[in-house]
Amino acid sequence: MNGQLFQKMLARFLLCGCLANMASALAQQAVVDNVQGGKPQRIVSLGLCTDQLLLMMVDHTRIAAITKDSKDPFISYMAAQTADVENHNTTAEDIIRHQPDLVVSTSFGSPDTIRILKRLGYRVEVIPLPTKVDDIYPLLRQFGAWLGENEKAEAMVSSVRQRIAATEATLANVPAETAVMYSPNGLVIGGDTLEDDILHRAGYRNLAAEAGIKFFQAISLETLMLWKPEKILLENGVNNRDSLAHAYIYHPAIRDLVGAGNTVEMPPHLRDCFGPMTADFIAYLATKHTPALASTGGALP
Amino acid sequence: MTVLLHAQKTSFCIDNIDILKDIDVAVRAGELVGLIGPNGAGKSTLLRLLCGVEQPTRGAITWCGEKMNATSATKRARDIGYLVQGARAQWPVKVERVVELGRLPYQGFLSRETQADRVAIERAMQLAEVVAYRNRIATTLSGGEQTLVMLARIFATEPQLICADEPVAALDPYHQLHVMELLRAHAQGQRAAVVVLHDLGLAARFCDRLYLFRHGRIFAQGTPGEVLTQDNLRAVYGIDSRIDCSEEGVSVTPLRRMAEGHP
Amino acid sequence: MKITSQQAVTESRRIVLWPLLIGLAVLLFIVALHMGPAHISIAGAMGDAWHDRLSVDRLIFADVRLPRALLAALIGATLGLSGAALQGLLRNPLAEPGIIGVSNCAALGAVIVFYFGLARFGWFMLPAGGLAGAFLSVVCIFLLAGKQRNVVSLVLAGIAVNAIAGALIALTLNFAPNPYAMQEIVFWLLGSVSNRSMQDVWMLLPFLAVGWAMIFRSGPLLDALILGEETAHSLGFNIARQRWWIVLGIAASVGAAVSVSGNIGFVGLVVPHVLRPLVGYEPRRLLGVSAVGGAILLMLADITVQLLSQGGEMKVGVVTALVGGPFFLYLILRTRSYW
Repeated sequence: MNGQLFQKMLARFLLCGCLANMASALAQQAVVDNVQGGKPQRIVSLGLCTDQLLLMMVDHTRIAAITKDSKDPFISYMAAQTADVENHNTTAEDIIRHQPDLVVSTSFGSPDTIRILKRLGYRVEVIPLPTKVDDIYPLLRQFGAWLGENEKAEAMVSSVRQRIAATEATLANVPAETAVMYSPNGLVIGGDTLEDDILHRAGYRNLAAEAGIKFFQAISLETLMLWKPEKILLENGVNNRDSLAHAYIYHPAIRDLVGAGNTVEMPPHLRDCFGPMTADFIAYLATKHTPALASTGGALP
Repeated sequence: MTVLLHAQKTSFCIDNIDILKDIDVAVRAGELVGLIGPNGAGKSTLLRLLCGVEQPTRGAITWCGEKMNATSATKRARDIGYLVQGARAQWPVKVERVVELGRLPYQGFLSRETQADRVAIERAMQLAEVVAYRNRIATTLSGGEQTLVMLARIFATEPQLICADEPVAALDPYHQLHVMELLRAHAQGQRAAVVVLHDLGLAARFCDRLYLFRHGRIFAQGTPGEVLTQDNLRAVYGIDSRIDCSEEGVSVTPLRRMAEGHP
Repeated sequence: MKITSQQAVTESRRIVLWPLLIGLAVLLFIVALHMGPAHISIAGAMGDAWHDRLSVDRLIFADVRLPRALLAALIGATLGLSGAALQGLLRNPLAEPGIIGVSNCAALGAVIVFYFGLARFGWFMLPAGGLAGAFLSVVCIFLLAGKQRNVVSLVLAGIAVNAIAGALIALTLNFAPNPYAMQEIVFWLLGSVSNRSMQDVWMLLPFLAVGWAMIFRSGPLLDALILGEETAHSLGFNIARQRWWIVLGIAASVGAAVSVSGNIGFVGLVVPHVLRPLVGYEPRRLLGVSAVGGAILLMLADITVQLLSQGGEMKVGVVTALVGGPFFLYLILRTRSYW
């Protein structure tokens, strides 16, 4: 038994070593071949959010591969502009195939894939997720710097900043409505999250944050009802309602509580990632306010 | 005497093998008819046909002049009581409850027990002498007592005909006589009984007529004196026996197996 | 003297049992309505509903608690009733929808309908899926173990059917288009009545009504079966046909129940067994009391779940299995004598 185990481990070790040598040789060659003027030319993105930023900031000939998710218009802001880009299946093996000179990922990307790629000598840059709107700007600049596209990043930052400010200006005289962001399985989104900041900027009070919830937490339907929000913002992250998890967000009690017009489905292609779509998301939520006359009180006394 | 039950040219096959072939049996009012024969001769199968639990493959069975398969299940259930071999209650219910089940053919889904039901139940328990243990659990009784309870259940139905399959098997002589006396007493007037027996002595003592079966056919029929002959028993059972006729009827004493073995 | 006093005891037991069970069920129903994280006034909520006033109390009462309590009662009753009917039909105290695989097969049918969007073809699709699964399994069980009164062959057939259905549930959830599907296998295998709505109650009711009626209609047959199948036949019962009535009744009611609650085990085993001596082992009388008893047990289990897990994530099937599992073992040990 022990002998067998040892043999297996040895075999694996040798295999790893060979692969690593081969791959790092390839990687180094790729870097030498492709870096023109310091700009990476064969970029791979590991997840939906970096896919979209990449599609926005670089010429598509420089993109080696992105995920399939970014082709799905339900969740991808950039779906229409992915026809000329290849896909990978997120495994390290498939990514090596593309011989990337830069791999970008959010901190949400598969840690195994990132670890293997780093060990094989590839350049992997990981961008953290923002927890407030103002975090987005330095992250965009950082991302642009990795790509060698500082000007584009700067232009994007100022555009996003301006559009958000414009939306906020339209809300100056609109009283804040109370709202809860409600996700499958009864999760609500609390304070210290990008979503919380977005809610505020779109003119809402986040009742989950006010109840002391940080990040995400499952609450019972009864608790949600006791909060008596004026708006319930539903998160349906996938284009399919057929699960018990989704039965939470489509429970009749929610419509009965706030009235049919006061549940808002948050479009995943605006909500799931950060960047220019964040400005669109805030603008979208801002349009969902009940006209001033009714917004003084909720559906219930 | 009126013929109550009549099987004509009746055959029963399973997988194209004849279990019974061209059987003619008549049961008249007031008769206690015995079906005898070796194991596997088809007696129990015939009994199932006679009480309508099974349909014959060929031939017809008539009950009171009406075809059995045209008779409604309810009428058949009220007219003919069937005591299965080794009948036992399958849940530990009280004796009285078992007897009450005999009234099921008279009760609709929602109807409650009527006065007539109650009278029949009490009478049946008295008849079978199970009143003393009416509140005991049926499954805890001895074999003989359980047979009496099952007989009481049949009496509660007040059937015209009782078909009993080896009712005295594994009973002591006291209970054997008791059961046979009850069946004998039942077969009076317009009522009758058909009973499958292995005990030739009891068959001779109690039955009016006997049918002797061999390999799915009737080998002999008639009064016990006519059927229970040394030749018949030798041919059908493969035994030598002594047959005595006395004032108390025919008695059969099996003596030895024949050298040629089982026929 | 002795006889009459014994009769008196039995009679008084009969008289006491029904009010006791009904009283307990009503009490637990009221307690169940009070369970939940929100402190609301049930009386106030009912008043609001009566005067058609909108209030959060009323919404929590009508949209959250009432369906949960009703479903616990209805599904518990279904499981108790069908357990009693199956045991009567097979004359086997170990027969139970969960143990012999009916519930898992019903869950499989419901899972296929639910996760592949077939439920959109009509309100009845989900319970009908459960019915179809349950029906197939009962037929399987009859083919595998229906002929004899044999505990071993029944339980073994149940193990096989359960294993196959469980694996197929996992497989179906694997291929389901919804990414949450795989996590929800726990719900289908252990069962729960939380986070349900009155829509589920309305969807369930027609199926339960028909199924229960078919089972209750077969009460006289179950009594006749005390005497065995042959004798029951001779008493004018068409066993072959009426057996299908019971099977269809169980399939309709259990199938629909499981399609809403998942597989809640052991209720149909424990309840009839505990109550059987109290009705003199009579299968027909056992039906009604088992229905009420099942409602009591499941409401009790669901109240326990809500007391133990404030988040509401614990499945009610965990509680019924913790009660029923050891009980099942005890029954196996006790009935070993007639294997």
